[in-house]
Amino acid sequence: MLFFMVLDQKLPREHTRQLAIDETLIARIGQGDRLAFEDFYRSSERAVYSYALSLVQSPHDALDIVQDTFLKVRAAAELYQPQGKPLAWLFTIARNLARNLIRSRARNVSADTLYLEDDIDYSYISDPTDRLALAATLQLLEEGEREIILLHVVSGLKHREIAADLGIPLPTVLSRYHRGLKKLRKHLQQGGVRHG
Amino acid sequence: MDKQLKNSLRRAVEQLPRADLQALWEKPVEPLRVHDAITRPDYLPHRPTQQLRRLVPAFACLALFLCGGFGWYGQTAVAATVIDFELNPSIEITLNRRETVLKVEGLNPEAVEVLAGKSYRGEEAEDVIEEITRLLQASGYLNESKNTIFLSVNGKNVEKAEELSEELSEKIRLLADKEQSPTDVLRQSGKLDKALREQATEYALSPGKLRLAALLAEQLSDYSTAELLSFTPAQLLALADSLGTALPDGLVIEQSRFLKTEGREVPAVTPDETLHADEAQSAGTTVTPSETVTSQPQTKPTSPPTLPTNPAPTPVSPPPVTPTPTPPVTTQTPSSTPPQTDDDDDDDDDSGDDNDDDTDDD
Repeated sequence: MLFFMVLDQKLPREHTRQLAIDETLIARIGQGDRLAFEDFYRSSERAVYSYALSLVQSPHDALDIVQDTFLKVRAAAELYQPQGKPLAWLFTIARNLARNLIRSRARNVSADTLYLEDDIDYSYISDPTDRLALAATLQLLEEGEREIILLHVVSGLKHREIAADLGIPLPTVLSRYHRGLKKLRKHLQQGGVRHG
Repeated sequence: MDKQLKNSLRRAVEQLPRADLQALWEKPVEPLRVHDAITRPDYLPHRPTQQLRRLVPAFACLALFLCGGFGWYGQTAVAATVIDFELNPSIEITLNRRETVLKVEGLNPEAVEVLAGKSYRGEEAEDVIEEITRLLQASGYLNESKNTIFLSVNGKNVEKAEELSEELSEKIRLLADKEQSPTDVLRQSGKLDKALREQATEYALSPGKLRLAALLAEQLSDYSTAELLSFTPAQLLALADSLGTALPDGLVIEQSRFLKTEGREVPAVTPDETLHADEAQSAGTTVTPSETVTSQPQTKPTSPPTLPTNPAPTPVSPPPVTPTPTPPVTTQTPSSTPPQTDDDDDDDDDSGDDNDDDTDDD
């Protein structure tokens, strides 16, 4: 899947603001509308990537999941029935792909390998502090905490939107979010990394 | 620190490789005639065996709930701690045993207005205090002049209440200092007393302020509990400050580190509910420490409430308020109670995140 990788593709910064994904684009994608697909991709890719990354804990695998997710969207777009939550559908696809990937590769990620910031997956990240923050997020946190922190921090989804799209109660989202941040804060403080 | 951590995460993910959009479009895909196991949305019905399998965890949860659910209920749905946060808006925050919020309530019209449309249920106390502090700054209640907040934390576990009050006070002062709205905190912690709460509810007061007024009235023979209840936080802090080493247990004065605090100014002690002490300063009625201040009596209420004179569970009726002038209060400067310091430098950069504005969606 290397030919799919683009290192310097500049995407607009919509992912840092509140997401507004137009559900009607999916029907147009089913009819072969390329522009609709591009709009849909740009508005949702960060969220899907963040979610996939939280599930598979590997940037390389997350990229595979994202690519397969959008290919599945193209394949099933005509079958999709609008429910008001297009992101929920994307997350369902990504989650099912991730489960298959994990099952097939039977990869165990050990909490001991906290030096993953040296892994080739992280070599694209220039700042060692940023590498450490991401490695800690992927290795230290539980899946539920990773999901919410990455979705909120990276893709800009609000907690309420995450709760709706993942189908979990808002207090659970809030609780996991704050718990995850506390763990990260504590780990990074103990590691002697000072921010600011 | 959280803001920096989040920025690090964001930057890290931004730099990771992304899919090629053009290649994604050009790759041939076979359109599906029916959803497969990957694309089937959750809203579509599943096969019966799958549905039954889905019910198994539900039954297991029900059994677990029946066996031990009451313990969970006690942890999450029962009030264990009450925080009173008073500037002029007076706000009460109720927490469960896990120190997550059950409800946030405005106790006066200003607080109701500030909190309009907000819901904090399920959030953690520190985050809610931070959010409320920001709201007060945005609303102008916390501003560049010196501010005073009364913070009271009363809980079933007194030690935890004390710890929490210390953490919250630190958070408030750091945030306020960072936004250049220096804020002193008069904080108090104690046992959550059912009788006190009931009295406070009956008279539409915060339990914390009721307890504080009773404590100060014990020490200051010149004031009654009823009079002290109408004092602003700044006025109460000034009175507490005047006690010096006689400050009651559980009561702490913590000063803003933003300003030098030598030669503290004392606001005019006028128990006028509409006049905040800081407004008095800006109106030119500030007195220097060498001058005496005189409190004006409150208008006698038609039916003086029955209020406790000490924090003991059994309420005792104080004497009714009479319109006689009270003796002046001489203040002492500087405060003989050293402010608590916190050497944890990591908190200095904890300024929260402007993106965390989820709670106003509904």
